[in-house]
Amino acid sequence: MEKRNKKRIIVSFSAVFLSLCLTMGFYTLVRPAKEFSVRENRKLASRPAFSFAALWDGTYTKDLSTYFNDHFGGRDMWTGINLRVKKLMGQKENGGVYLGKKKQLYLIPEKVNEQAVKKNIAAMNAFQSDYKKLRNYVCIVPNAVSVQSQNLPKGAPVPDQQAFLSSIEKRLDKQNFIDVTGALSKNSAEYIYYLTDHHWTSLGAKIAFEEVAGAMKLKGVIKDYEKLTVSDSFRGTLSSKSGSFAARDTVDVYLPKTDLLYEAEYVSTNEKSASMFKTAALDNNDKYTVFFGGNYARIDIRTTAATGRNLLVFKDSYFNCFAQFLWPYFDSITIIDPRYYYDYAGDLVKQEGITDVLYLYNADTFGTDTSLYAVLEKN
Amino acid sequence: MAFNQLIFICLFLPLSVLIYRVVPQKARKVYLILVSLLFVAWGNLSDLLYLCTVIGFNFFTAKQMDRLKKDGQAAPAKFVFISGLAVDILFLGYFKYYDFFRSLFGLSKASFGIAVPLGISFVTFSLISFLCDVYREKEEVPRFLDFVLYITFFPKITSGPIVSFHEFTKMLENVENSRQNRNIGLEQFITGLAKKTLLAGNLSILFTAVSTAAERSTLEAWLGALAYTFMLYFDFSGYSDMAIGLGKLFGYTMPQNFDHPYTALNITDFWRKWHMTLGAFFKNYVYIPLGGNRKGEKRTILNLFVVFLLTGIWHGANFTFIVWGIYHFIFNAADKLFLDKAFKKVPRLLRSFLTFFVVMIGWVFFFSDSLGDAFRYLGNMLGIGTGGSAGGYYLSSFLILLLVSAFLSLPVMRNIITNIKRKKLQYYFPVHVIVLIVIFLLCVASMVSDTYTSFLYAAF
Repeated sequence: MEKRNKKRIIVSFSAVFLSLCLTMGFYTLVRPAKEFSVRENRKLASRPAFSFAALWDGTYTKDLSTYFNDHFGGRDMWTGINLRVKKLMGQKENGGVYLGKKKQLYLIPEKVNEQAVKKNIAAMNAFQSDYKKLRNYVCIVPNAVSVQSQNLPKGAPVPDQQAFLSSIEKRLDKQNFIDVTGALSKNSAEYIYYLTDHHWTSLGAKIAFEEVAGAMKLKGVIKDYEKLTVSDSFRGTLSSKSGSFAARDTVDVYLPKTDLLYEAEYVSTNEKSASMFKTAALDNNDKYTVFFGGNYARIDIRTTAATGRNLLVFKDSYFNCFAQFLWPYFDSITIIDPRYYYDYAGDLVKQEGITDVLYLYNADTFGTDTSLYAVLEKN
Repeated sequence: MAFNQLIFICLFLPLSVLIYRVVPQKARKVYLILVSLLFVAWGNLSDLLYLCTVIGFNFFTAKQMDRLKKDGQAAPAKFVFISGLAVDILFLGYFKYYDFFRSLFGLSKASFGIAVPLGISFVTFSLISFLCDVYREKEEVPRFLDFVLYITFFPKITSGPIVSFHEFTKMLENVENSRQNRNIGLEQFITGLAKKTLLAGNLSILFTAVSTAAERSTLEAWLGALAYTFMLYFDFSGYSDMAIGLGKLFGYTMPQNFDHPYTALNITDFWRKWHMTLGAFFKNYVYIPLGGNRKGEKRTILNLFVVFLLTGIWHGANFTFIVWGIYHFIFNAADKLFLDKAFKKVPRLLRSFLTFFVVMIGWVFFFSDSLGDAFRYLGNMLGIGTGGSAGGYYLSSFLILLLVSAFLSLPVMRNIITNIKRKKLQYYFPVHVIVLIVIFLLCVASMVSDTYTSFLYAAF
């Protein structure tokens, strides 16, 4: 009896295993294909189009494998299990993200691309000497890994961003370098970076703004704001990258108490709006895009401030939530994201009557950016 | 297609095995050839062109050789044999070493027009083995289909195990499609998959972090070297386990490729336990034909030198591999001359430990991009030119993984399982199956989530 029993179980092993594999395989093939993974915040691979050329060089089958992986049944469950196993084994990072204490996630900054930085700084200096009358300001914002290091896994290697910022400052000619590290560090216990996203919070931007306002000698700086919490269920890019969904973030917006008005114009689409906040973005996964709806090549802000100052900004996404504090002090702000803007920025100086230039980047992006110099150089 | 891709495991593998079972006995070889060609074509259709060319050429060569021999024309037969070998080796050399020679003369990379064919290093060894075994009349010229199956058999085509033609002929005679074989095969397949995805995959995070850092501390350098040592073992022995397991699923028993090499007592012993089928190939087709150890001590050492130089060169076109080969030659020769005798009375544990250490230092040459990098890395291990302060972080993050890796490099686990099996406990089998399936599901989780990494030996 016992022997028969054992035999029956042996029969099942290869059958069970192979049918388990097949079930997973067929389930993946027959389930409706999704275009976008909300949880991972990325576009999933689409079913590759067949062509003989693609079959010949192997790209068709390669793309098919990627498609199969991206659409694998129960993907979210599998990534959850995988993260748990890794944590159990003692690992403190996953997918380029440190799994910090108190549920805080940190983007591990990329290695600085020294060549690109050199090229950008040279272009910034050259732009300054081409337009000597402009007041130039450079603000490179340190990332959470260096400002809020208290929750990092113990001993986690992080680059010395302070040294990086100093090296930038030294290499800039006649430009005002605004170091906001001190102000942010003083408030490192506050909610100045998102737990699950690689951006700073509006509070972080507000603290930095106070430094910037001083350096730019802005007049009549507003102290009163109306703070609105627009989301308390934000799971940012770091959650997606690491597969860790333990925390949720709160997104606040600040409305300066003033009678001044502004209008934002998205130049590529000619869309005009009386608000820089896109509430529709709150229905998306990436709730940080509530600020301007994300990154655009060029956005112009025109205000009723009548200060006689017109600002040209070169920026990355850190600026998107910084603008809510900056707008009341300029007649116009021309916001350029060099990653998407391909014209010579010098042309804007005359067109828009620019008086001030601000470079605002986070240290990680500035250390790896390969597009800024291109908009600063006349072809 | 690679064994650690979901599409292989969830579609190709189960379908090919299940259909195999309903294919009539007579048609099974043809079926396996078709499946193997599909496997190759999946990666790159142009690889089929390469395979057809070398298969046609070598079969024709063997036929000619055989005819000449039967006509009593020994010298022309030898000429055909040597020409055949030369063409096979030139083919390999062209794809693998041409660029290396160009770089020696300061020339830029050449464009081949087609990609380097899948598994060319391993396929070439099969071809050499085939020509040699037929020429030495160890085997008759086979039926064409048998030869095609020998070269294309998909479980071994990308990275071995290197099966000699003689061995394969024996395998063909002993194909056994039994439930037991399928179970053993699956078990070895899942074990290999776990070695690759759960161990090697995670160890590679540590190794990559250390090896790509701008600077590293002494502790980091040691951790990186340890990580690579275990990663390479679990990656390649994992691949081999999967290949051998796949063979078993179709009833074919291929030779094992690893036998707990990190417990070896000396370097000679290490090469009996590491990539065993490569060692066997060089022994049978290089070392013994050169005279082996039958022509005096000096000649033995020279023969060893040739074997290890070739072993180094075979791994890739880089001085680092040549130095690695010579490094292993030195220890092998020393074993033969005096080291083995001198260490006879040293406790086994210490000998294993020292051997492990020597092997690990060897891997530094193996994994470095250049000799300069290798010496810099070794310098870091000695505290020269160090920097960085992440050693503590890496140690705390990867200690468990390194300890588990070390434990699983020992034969302890295998012995425990063998002992339990021997006791024939009532619930052993179902528990065993459940454990294997759980391990398999963890592998799936890793394959779904982590960035895909190919097998390290796919590059050799």
